[in-house]
Amino acid sequence: MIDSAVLIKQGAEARVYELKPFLTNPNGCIVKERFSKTYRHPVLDKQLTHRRVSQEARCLFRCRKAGIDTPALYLVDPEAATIYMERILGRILKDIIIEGKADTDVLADAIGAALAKMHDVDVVHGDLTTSNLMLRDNNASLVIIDFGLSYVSKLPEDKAVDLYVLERAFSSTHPQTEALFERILTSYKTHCKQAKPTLSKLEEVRLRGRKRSMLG
Amino acid sequence: MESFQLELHPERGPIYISLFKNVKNAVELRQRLLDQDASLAWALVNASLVVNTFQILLAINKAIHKEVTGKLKTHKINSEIVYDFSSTNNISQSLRRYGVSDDSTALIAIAIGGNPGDIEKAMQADIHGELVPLSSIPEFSDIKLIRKYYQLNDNNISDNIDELMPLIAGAMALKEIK
Repeated sequence: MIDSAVLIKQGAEARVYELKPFLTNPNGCIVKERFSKTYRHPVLDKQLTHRRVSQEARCLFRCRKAGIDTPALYLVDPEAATIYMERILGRILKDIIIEGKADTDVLADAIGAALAKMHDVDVVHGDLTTSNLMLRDNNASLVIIDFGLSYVSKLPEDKAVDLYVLERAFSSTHPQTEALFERILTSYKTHCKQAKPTLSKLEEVRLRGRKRSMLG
Repeated sequence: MESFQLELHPERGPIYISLFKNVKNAVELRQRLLDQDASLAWALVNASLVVNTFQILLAINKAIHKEVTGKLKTHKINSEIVYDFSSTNNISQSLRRYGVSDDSTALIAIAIGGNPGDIEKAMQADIHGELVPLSSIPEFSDIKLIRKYYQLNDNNISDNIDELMPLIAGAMALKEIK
């Protein structure tokens, strides 16, 4: 990694650095580097990492093109398993909700609308949490980040699980926010072209959990 | 002429970018490129497909990154820079669209490394036009053509540069990504 890059987060799949400045942009950029998993066969590992990097970049762009606010892509290097992207100046939703000063109804409507748009272009995020949603400082636009587990799917099942993951994230990180999540779903319903099959699947998913039963 | 530093590859030296308007000798410049005249040492970009300096730097950054990692698709770094403005993998089409054409009047010249004084003089000797600051790039941008070439024709996308730039950046970054 470049000397001036500062490590800001280390996850299970990747390390995230901040590089300031970047090509005259004083806000710099975010460098996300997936690291290799030593427990995997090197050939397989390379192939998987390569594929996931390009998948993440493509999903990011697909959403951006559909009018969802996501970080802009600057450079994608699948060989080095690295994505250079826009550094969002803002705060994660988790902190905003915990602080409790923001108008949560406005937030919920924005979240529902953004998720609806995302599912309408068949992008399933795969890791929706309040840490992966941000609000920009300058215009309070809702940004979806971290498409590391995202993929393209038309199945209502996958979209329903996406919503279910967010619901669980809400109930575990923000107790007593059932009404807020309901409002997100209401907004989702009004904005999403194919909300019905997804929401009825959600009922099913709630009963059985994220994993599909393989019995019978 | 303005100079820039690439954070990823500072070892390649400073980057020099000039914008020329009222260029009179586009036909000659294009012929020299076709003849592979090595004395024409700049990447020449059609300014009407450029919205700002950041877009230029992204293309240069990508081209140099590919050069350093041994992944150039074209023969030289200068042609690679022009190619990397494009969102498609078609080399000849990219060079035709984003490079000099016979009727070009606004051109961006890019040089990598070297002495700034010498480069500015040599650029002005090659390109018969008026040197203007990079801040006047928007005067020459053809938004309609930019939207067409970068495939940003959806009605929900506005002509606003702040909205277009992230999409242009994404289209450029995703080229060659399988």
